[in-house]
Amino acid sequence: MNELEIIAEEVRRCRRCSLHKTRKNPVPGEGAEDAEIMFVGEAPGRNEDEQGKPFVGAAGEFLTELISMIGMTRDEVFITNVVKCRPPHNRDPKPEEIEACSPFLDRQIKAISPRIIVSLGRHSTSYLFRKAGLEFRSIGAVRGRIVEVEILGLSVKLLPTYHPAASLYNPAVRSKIVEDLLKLRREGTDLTKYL
Amino acid sequence: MVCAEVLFDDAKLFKGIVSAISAIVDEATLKVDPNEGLKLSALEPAKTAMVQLILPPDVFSEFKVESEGYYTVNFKDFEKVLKRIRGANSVKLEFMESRLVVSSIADYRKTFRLPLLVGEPFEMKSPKVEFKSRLRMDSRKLPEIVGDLKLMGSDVRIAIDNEKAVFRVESDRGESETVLTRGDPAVMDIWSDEPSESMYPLSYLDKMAGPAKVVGEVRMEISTERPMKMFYPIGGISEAGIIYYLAHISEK
Repeated sequence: MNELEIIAEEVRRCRRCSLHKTRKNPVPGEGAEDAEIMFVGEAPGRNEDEQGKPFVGAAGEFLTELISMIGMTRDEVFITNVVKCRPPHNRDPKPEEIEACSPFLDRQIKAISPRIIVSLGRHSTSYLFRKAGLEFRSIGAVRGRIVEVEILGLSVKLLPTYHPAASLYNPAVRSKIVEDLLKLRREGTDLTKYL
Repeated sequence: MVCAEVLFDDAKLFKGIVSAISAIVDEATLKVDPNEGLKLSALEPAKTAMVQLILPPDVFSEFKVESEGYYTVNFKDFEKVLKRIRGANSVKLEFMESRLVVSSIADYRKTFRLPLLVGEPFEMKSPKVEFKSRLRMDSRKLPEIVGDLKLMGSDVRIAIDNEKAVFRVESDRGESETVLTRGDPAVMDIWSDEPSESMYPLSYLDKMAGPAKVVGEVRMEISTERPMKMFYPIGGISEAGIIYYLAHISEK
């Protein structure tokens, strides 16, 4: 069993906060153990809670599309959330729930040692900014800018953007997320200069 | 009021055409023209891939179009609708002012009405690339080739000269190589003005292999450090087909 599998097993048995009482399935995260890019969302929603997998609903479809847009597949990245169990009625995770659950995320980051972390939404961005010793004001203020930081003793590039679920209700957010993620795309993969 | 009415005699092929577009873009504008038929040209949001469609009037068994029109269609919804049309021999499309009516008759008549927006007029604009090497092959083999390559990485290096086309993927996971040589049953033709080699994202090539399920041939054109063109001819009619352009991964 590798470290990620051990963490996943501990998440499945976890009773650190009250979310374990209402969850159907905990969602530890999934992807490559040597992923270059890690996507960190906020907390599982209804579909994720049903299936025990991260980002499997409509927002997940969009995330898959974004990953494909940067020339990768879901299997090649690692996808997880700050909070591993679904908050009832999809409410925001409470600070104490983030506090209780985030050690799992910390261990996942250490185990994977990604080159880039994409934080999706304000909760994961706020948490990772705090870990990096940065001041977080709002997701709108920090999104789309890649910052080189040290998190848990690792040098990583952190790219904050909106949560993909926000794009489902607001098409303008969708194009901003696309614009942000395109910054990860390799140089040169653009047809416009030939048009 | 019906602005245009066309009948396509091969429902399976038509589903494949719509899926080929939907694989690249959610929404795109169709040009419907009495002389040119149906045309589409759409760049995906990441600007890495482009899809074009050219279906001249002769491709259709009925083609009643009075004047040029541009209609914006949600291809994801269009694809879902066509998946409900099973076993039908033909698909009829009626372009109305704000609706696209899709119908088919198999054991009984099915009709779907999709919202349609008035699209912006466009000209077919293709990437200006001088392609130096070309491969014509049995497209049914393409999904298998892409599947083999995906096992070992995310970027494929394609090299074509006068005798062979080599597809190679290398990563920490290992290596995968496919060689198509002149004379192989899967190769229809291969030629090159100068040996060419470029690297492309496999995830896109995977999407672009979709039409292989419904079209028997694909023509792939590359140049060194340049985008790729893929053409799936349709119905044996000159120019008719699905065209993809895919940006290369710059190695400079």
